[in-house]
Amino acid sequence: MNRKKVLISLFVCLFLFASFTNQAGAYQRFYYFGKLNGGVYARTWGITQKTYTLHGRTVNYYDRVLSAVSNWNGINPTSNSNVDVSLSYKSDYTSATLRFYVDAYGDNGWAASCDHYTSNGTYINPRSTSGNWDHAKLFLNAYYTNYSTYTSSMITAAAAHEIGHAFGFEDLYGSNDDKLMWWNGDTRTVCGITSDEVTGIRTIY
Amino acid sequence: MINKKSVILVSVMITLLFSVTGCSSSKNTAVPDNSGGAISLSKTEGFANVKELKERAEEIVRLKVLSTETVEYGEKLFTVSKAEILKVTKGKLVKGDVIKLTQTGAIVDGQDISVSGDPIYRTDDEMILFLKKCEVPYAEDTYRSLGIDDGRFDVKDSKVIARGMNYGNESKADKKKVKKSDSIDEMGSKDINRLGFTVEEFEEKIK
Repeated sequence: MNRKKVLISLFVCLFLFASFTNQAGAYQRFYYFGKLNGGVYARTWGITQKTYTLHGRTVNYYDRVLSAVSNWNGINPTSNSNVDVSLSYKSDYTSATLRFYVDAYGDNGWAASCDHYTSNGTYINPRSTSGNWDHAKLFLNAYYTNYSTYTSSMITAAAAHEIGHAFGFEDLYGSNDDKLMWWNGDTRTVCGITSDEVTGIRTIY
Repeated sequence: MINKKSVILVSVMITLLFSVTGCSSSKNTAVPDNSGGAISLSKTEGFANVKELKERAEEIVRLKVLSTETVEYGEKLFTVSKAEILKVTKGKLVKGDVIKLTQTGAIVDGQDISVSGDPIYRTDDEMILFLKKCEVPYAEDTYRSLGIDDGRFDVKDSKVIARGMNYGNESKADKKKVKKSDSIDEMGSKDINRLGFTVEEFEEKIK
């Protein structure tokens, strides 16, 4: 086999490998590559109310969000990356970087949601506007999440998923139900960050 | 010795390789259009084809938006619109009824703050919606489209435009490259938008 054939064979293998690995698991960013101004280190989170009772169930949302935050806080510097996710609780949620709101917003078709804002309180649309945001409001819809079928793990995952949006991740579709950023909280098969989000956060920040 | 041809060949290969690895892992390749999207969320339901929508819809109607109102609840904005029923394909509503529709988001300072695929309705918008009655704390007797954008089909210049049903999986109809004359049941948004149904054709198909 001559050198040319060896090179072509090598290229075909690499091409197929690259294509396959991208399809299997690829975090997505918002179209305009927006992200949280000030980064992910030494930031704060707060919550409107710690517990919520509905449908005969009392859910401790503080604990659920704390669990999600702890999950993200597990991203620490390594020999290859200086990125350190560090979110601490702030009792005054109105001035926190990530502001969680818990309420029964009704049968609107969503269990959790995230809105992005600039420092002067105006919305940023990360899918149609270039620019970064300064804080995010993250909503947990107790109308759905207080049902007993919505387990504690699913609520933690919903909170962690919305934190992902606040950090600049887009939803995933296709065959990515084993990723935190999978679009549907009812069918997501993981309840915390995966290597995909870790890679993503180290790239974005 | 590496000759000139080998250098050129390796350069082309590396360029092609980077075009695969460099783009798809970090950038959403879908070019944004005027389809809302300021609000990110975890949906509670999704519909991949028309059959699923037909089975779950309480009402399937064509309607025209008469007015819209922004409502704030729990620091979140919603829009409640009034719409007149123009035609009923399924359900108990009748032509001429006026119903209330709810959406997550609002028009804020002229900016559409809405869920991706479900831009806020505007007065005179005409749509075919697969609806369910929904319980919300900020309005009574309201409906919403199934799967938020999945059950929404806008009418533009007498043509039907599917807004949702984009979950990254090819529909069965996609794979078969369906024709307009085929059943609409297995079709997703790509099929419907590619085939370009008129309102009359679409309403006949979803009966």
